[in-house]
Parts: sequence; C-alpha cells; structure tokens
Amino acid sequence: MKTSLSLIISAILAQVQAQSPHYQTETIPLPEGEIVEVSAIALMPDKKVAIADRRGQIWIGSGLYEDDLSKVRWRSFAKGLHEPLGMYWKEGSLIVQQRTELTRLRDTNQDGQADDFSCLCDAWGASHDYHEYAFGSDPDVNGDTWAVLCLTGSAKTGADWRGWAVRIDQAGKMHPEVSGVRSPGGIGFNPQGDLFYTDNQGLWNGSSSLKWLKPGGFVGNPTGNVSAKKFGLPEPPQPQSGSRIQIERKKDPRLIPPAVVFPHGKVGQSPTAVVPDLTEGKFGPFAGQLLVGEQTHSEVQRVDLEMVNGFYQGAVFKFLKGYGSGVVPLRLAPDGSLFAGGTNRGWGSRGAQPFSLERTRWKGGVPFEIKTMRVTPSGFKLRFTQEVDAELAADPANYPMKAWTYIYQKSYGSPEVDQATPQVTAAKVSEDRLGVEITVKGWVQGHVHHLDAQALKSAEGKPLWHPDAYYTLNEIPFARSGGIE
Amino acid sequence: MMSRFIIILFLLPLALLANDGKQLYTTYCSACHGADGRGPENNVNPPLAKSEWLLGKPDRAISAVLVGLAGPIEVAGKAYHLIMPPQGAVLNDEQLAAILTYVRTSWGNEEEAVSAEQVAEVRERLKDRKTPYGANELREKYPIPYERGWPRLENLISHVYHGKWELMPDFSKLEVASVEEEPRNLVDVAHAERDQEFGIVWTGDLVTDREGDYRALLDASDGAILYVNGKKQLEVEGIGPRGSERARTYRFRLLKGRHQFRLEYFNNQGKPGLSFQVSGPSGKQWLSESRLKIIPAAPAIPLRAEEGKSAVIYRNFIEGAGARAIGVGYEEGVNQAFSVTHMGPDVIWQGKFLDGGLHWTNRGQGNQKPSGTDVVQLLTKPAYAILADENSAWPQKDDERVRPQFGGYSLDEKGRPTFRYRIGEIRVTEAFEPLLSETERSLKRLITFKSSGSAPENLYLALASGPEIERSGERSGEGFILDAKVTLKSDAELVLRRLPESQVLVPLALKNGLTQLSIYYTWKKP
Repeated sequence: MKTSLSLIISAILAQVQAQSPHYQTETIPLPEGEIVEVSAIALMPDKKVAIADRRGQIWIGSGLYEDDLSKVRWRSFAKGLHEPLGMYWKEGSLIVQQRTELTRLRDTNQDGQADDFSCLCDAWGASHDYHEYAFGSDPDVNGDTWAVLCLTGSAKTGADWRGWAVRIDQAGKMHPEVSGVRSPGGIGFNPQGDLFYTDNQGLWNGSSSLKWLKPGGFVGNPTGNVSAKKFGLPEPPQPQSGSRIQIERKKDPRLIPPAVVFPHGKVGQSPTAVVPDLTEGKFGPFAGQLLVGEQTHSEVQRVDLEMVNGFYQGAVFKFLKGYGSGVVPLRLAPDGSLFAGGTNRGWGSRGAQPFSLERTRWKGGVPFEIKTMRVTPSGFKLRFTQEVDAELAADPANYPMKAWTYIYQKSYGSPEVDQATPQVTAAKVSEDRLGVEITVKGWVQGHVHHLDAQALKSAEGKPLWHPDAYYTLNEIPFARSGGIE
Repeated sequence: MMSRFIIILFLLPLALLANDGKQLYTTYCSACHGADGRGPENNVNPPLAKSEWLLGKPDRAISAVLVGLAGPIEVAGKAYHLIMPPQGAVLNDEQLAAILTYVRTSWGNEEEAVSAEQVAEVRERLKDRKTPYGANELREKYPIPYERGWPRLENLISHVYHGKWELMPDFSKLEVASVEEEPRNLVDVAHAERDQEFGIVWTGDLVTDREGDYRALLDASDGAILYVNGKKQLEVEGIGPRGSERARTYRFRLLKGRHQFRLEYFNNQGKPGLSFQVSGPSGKQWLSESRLKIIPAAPAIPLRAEEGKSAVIYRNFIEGAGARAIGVGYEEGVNQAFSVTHMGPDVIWQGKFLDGGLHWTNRGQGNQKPSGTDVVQLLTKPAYAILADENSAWPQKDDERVRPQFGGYSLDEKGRPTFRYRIGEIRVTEAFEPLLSETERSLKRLITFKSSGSAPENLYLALASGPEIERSGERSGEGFILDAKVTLKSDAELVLRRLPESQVLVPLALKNGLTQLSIYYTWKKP
C-alpha cells in the first residue's frame, strides 16, 4: 500500500516535472471547419505566418504572435498545390516546395490570393508513388534552395534522382549534390549555415538520425546510385550490407556518418523538421542548438552539434512533448515563438488529433538540463544550465554509460548491437559548478553513447528535467598538450 | 482497507444497474442476440459475448444502438449482413446505459460500466443523424483497441510487392515496392495501399512469455505461408476466399523468448484478407488486423470551385495524365487534366470534376479517376515533335530538340489558369475557356506561340493521339469525333493520319512574332 502510494506520488511528480514550468504550448485555432494537415510554415512580414497543408492549400494567418490566440484570423492564399513540404518568404513571394516542382507564388493584383504560380524547377523525377516526398529547405547563403527526395516506396528508384539531395540555383538549374538519402522528414540549417536533414529508420538506416548534407557526400543508402550512373556522374559508394558505418566509411571517405543517431524507440521513431535556435536566448538557454520535430511521438528533441576532425557529431536530448498530432514542420520565430504543425494521416502519432498547429514559448526561468555534451580526447565535457550539486557531480559512479551501434544493412532497421559499457573513471567539477569533465574508459568510436545522469542534482537539489543524453561518437579529437592524458 | 472500501462503493451501484439491465436486455435484445449473448442458434445475428465491437470506450456501442447498424460486418471472425434497428427512440438514456452495462460485463465481457450521461452525450452528437451506421464508418470513428497479451509480435516490418500470382512467388527474386515498419505490430493487409495484385512479406519477432505448446491459425485470401525460426509451419495455398475450409492450423512447441517470424502473403484478385492467430499457455491472440477489417473505400470529397470562381485546380496523380498532372474543373461542367510532362490536356471529360478522397485520406496511393463522364484520353505521348514528313512515326519520348519546359500558370479573376511553357526560344501560353450552348458544352483552348528567332521547321503539335477518330463531316474544318464522345474542331488546318494509330496533328509553321491557334472540344449535354 505504502509503496504503491509513493509510486503514484512519484508518477504525479514526474508528470509535473515533464510539463515544464518553463515552456508553454498553446493550441493555435485553425480555419474553422477546414482540414488543415500542416506541412510547412513560413514567416512573413507584418507578423503574418503562412502555413501549407497536405491537401495543397496555403493559408495566411495574423495574430499568431499575440498572447490571446483566440483572435487568430486566417485567409486562404492558394489552393490546388501538390503536397507542399517546404515554404519560405522571399521578396514578396512565397517559395513553395511541391512534390514535383519548386514554385514561386505571387499575388500580383494584391487581392490577397495568389494568382501567379511560376515553376522555378521541376527537373527531378516523380512516379505515382505516395512515398516520394520532397522536403524543401530555406535558401542557403547563396540564395539557393535544396530539396531532399524520398526513394520510391522508401525502397527503390522509380524515377530520376530519387534518394538524392538536390540544390536548385537561382536560375532554376538543378544540381544533384548528395546521394544516399532514404526517407527524409525535414531539412534545415545549423547556425553556421551547414545543411542537415533527418532520415528515418529503414533500409540502410539502422536507426533514425540527423544527417549532414555535405556537398559531394554520400549519406548511406545506395538505392539512388542508379541516377548517377544514368547521368554520367561519378558513382557513389556501394557499401557492404551487414557491416557497420564506421567500417564502411573507412573504405570510402565520401560516406558521411550520421551526425546524431536518434536511438529508435528511445528518442522518437520518425524525426522531421530541423530548425536552429537563432533567438539568442528568447527560447531559453539553448541558443545555437537545433530543434528536431518527431512525428510518431509528437515531440520536439534538442540537438547539440560540434565538429570533430572535419565531421559533425553530438548529442540528442529529449525536450518538448505532448503535441496534439504528429509534429512535421517547425518554425522558430525571432521572438522565440516556436510554431509546430502536425498531421498523423497515414502514419499514426501519440498526439491523437488528426492535425494541429501549436505555439510553444519559453516562459522564463531555467530548467535544470545538460546543456551541452562535447567530446574531449579522453571523455566528455558536460555543461549544465544551472549549478550542479558538486558532491554528486564529482562521483564517477553517477555517470553510468552504455554504448552500442547498429548493423549497416540493406534490410529494414537494425537491433542495437556491439553493446559496450564504457566506464567513467573520473569526474571533475568546474569552478563555476556549471561544468563537469568526465574521463571515459572503454568508449567505442562510431557508437551511440548513452549517458544516464539521473543521479545528478542541481545545487538547489532539483533533478534533471531530461537526464538522458545520447552522443554519437563518430570521431575522437586528438589529445593536445594540456588535455587530460 | 481503504482501497477495498472504494471497490465496494463502486461495485454496489454497478451491480444494481446490471440487474436492471438484464431484464431490459431480455425484453429488447435477447430475441436476436440470444439470452446468453451468443447469438441465435441459426447464427444470422452476431453474438455480443466476446464481441470486439464492445471493447474500450462505449461510444461505438452506444452509437450503434442509438441509430442502428446496417450492412456487412465481421464479428469474432464471422461475417454478417443484416440491419440492427435503431433503439434511440424506444429506450431512454438510463435504460440504454443499463443494457449496455449488462452486455459489457456479462458472458466473459469485461468492459467498464456505461453511464446515462455517456449515452446522453452520444445522443446529443447524433441528434441530426437519420441513417444507421455502417460497420466501416463506425470502426473508422471509434477504432477497436487491440489488447496486447502473449504471445505477441515485435519489430514487425512489412515488405510490399506488386504483381499478379496464382501461387506464392519467390519474393527474393522480386523488387520490393515499399518497406515499412508496422508500428502496431499487427499483420495488416491494408498496408499494401491497394486491393489487388500484391504480396506482402512481414518479418519480425514472435515473442513468447513462456515455454509450451502453441497453436497457429492462418486463413487468407488468397495465399499465405507462415515461417517460425526459418521453418515453414503453415500454408494456405493458391487462390480462394477466407472463412472456408482453406484455413489451416498447426501445433508446435516454442521456448520462452524471441522467435524469428516471417509471414508471406499474396492477393490475386478479389477482396484481400488475412487472419492470423496464435494461442499458447498464456492465452489466444489475434496478431492480424484483418480479422475485423473491411478495407474502407475512400470517402467522397468532391472538388468544386470556390464561390464566385469558375475553376478549381487539383494537382496530384490523375489517371491518364501522370504524376505531374494539373486537374482543372470548370463550374460549367467541362474538365481537363493538363499534363506538365506533355504540355496540353492529356485527358478531358464532362460533368463532375475529381474527388479528393483517394489522396486526402490515408497515405494517398494511386491515380484518381475523373468523376464525370465521356472521358477522352487525348494524349499518351509528347505533344510536340519534329517530323521529317507527314508519314514519319511520332516519337514515344520527348524529342530533345523541342522538349518543352514548364513555366507555370497564372489565374484570372475567375480562378481559371493560363499555362505557360517554352520550347527552345518559342514562348507558349495556353488559355482555356468553357463555353455553353443549350445542347452543348465546350472547352476552348487558345494556344499562343511567341517566336523571336527561327522556329524549327516541320514542327507538329498533336491534338489527339490514341483515341478512335472519325471525321465529323466531309471537310476537315468540320472537325473530328474522338471516341464517339467529343468533337474536336480548330481554326487551323488539321491533319488526320493513321499509321496505323489515329492522330490529329497541327503542322506549325511559326512566323516571327505571334501565332494563335484555337481548338474546341465539344460534348453534347447529357
């Protein structure tokens, strides 16, 4: 009786803790009586916000930044588009990534509705397959737009350039840049302007992950290689099935390992949008990091990236949850309003609504979190958002770790394999008590390293909001003089 | 102590209600469903004992009782086809709550009691509904929860293949059409997103919680083979319906833990379906969705122009016009699917436009067919070609010298699109206008070429390539009848040729500057 009661109380406490007092998610009313399966979000001048939906409509809303969301108003801007999955505002136009075309929409007679639909590029192939999603990026530093093109049925090449990331320059010419794509869920830049996308667990993807679209690179799935052959491009790598990413990338350096693996089931199941936090603190203490949407679990994850030996890697932390539907597009406005669109048509989500649009804002105050987890030549350097309880933080026993990787294979997904148990042998708390440097023995290059920090507490005695960190160790930095060991 | 007290408190009113419910059930329901809830002896009505339709929230059952349930339904693996008459006008909220509570807690059913408030709430929602539910609609609205017991499937992946077979094919030699996780870990034939001519291979783990004797039941339309730990255990062979003597069972011993699971399935023609059940020391589990599933037809979402507009645009997969089709429906009752691959209408028809139901529900696989009538497939090949002479074959693929590049479209104040594209240095626009007379409907197509250099010689535009073509009169100016459905006329000189395929061509002698060409597609009003 006593145990069960305390269990109930701790469960309630856990829930209170999960519904952070620091972030508030509110429902944004959508056009009444309409089915709006939000698939892309663009910010416009005059505090307006455009949303696109899977039925091919675009709506322009006002009042989305106001405290009182009941006053949000929508007007229809365009209809009849083919499943738009990317959209941004540029020089008086909406640039929309449709399934078969990058299109510029203009309202030339200023009546509030688009009347001109210019085809900017439609050079990639499309068959009659629902799975051939095309996610479009914002403009890169040169003003070019990128699209990641899902494989046909997420498994084969039914048309040209399926399984590629292509760049569309401002003259409308298409440049195939990165091969090896399987089934993307979103595309976005980090603050440095490098481009990333999420790819879902499946063929040649042991688990879902955030991948770096390095021009000329290959991101893992060789199904789209046939297009290179057909159009006379150098053939991308042909990895060996049943191997490991870490082994195959030594054979061909064009294979870019996933920057951050999202362990299947543990950190979502279907990652989607990628947005950088460029708000300089208006969205809480995670400026400069990435937010990644999650469709199946209706969540938003947080990713801290670093570049080591020329490759991106880093940690994923759970962050926001409880969205109304499956989160697909995200847009973080400069004022710190995170707009999250949702749909679960065809793919179920924990959020039970068929579609949703929500706004998450930071309410102030600092949640106790692992802010960053970065690699050192001998272990990891953790930074926290608040001062830690130094006694707990100095005990190496409070940093249990597990590591594993996935089979790199032609068949769907992979179990966690090659398990290892790295040992934390030392933990040194920084003078400001915001950092801890841990020394790790027995880590494994190429593995996901799961740090379970639930034993730690803040100086005020609070537990971590999210105690789990999952770090993908593609590269180990070289020891420099002054480093530990 | 306290918890016991609470349970007693809860049980007391429930027992009272259930008593009352039994009397009411006997009066109103037992004639059809049997005093023991097992249905009548002749089996025409479905049982309520252990009916999956009673599982979970009571809204599904309340709805069916209030407004009735008609048409085909599967209950506990058996098909029925009758009408459950509506009881909403006969019984009040309290009575219905009592009956449903009795039904949901008797004969092995172990669901929560139903309150009069719950019934009232559903009654309010359904107050304007005049028609009974169909099983599909009811199930879509209130999905039947799946109880996860033992044994179970985990890490289930489906591999879909397209093809027509009469016996199980060797899937290792076929190209897979799609591979997906089955997040519910249930075998589900709906995953193929098509009804006919497909196969699915599921792989994953069959997980048992204890060692013991297990029994698998497999029934399929058409064929299915079960492998456990790499060994073929069961086969439903060849083509045939479910629910017959084709069902197969097999007993085998399993250790506790994970077992390699593989289930192969194919459907030739007819309704697909697969039932798969495993029973063991810890119970009996349906591991397939399809025991209940009647694959729902896509709901109708007819597409119409907005108020004040003449045209509506639908860009998606349209039958006969490919993946890059732009459907345009005009309120005047004429329609086209403009192909951005060929440039020009690939398909035209009259009457209703298109329905969004196919692509706007579930994942949206397949081509949408025109909703209207007198559909004519004008083109299946490129619209432009350079021919050495009028007897040269029409190219199957784009002639690179005159490959058109789509430029987009603009909408007029009525929402009607004017398409634009380029052929080399030639800029082309195509404007469409619906025209009505008392007996006819026409779609006028005005093509404008703007040539600023030397246009290629021997350039031809195909207006029709494929349909049956007859002359409408003696002279070509009187036009052509396509597939005996639509008349094609133009202000330009048209050429009819049969090589042997019938084609109507326009020789394009483009001069510097503007050249215009009007084409009329005309239907008789039905």
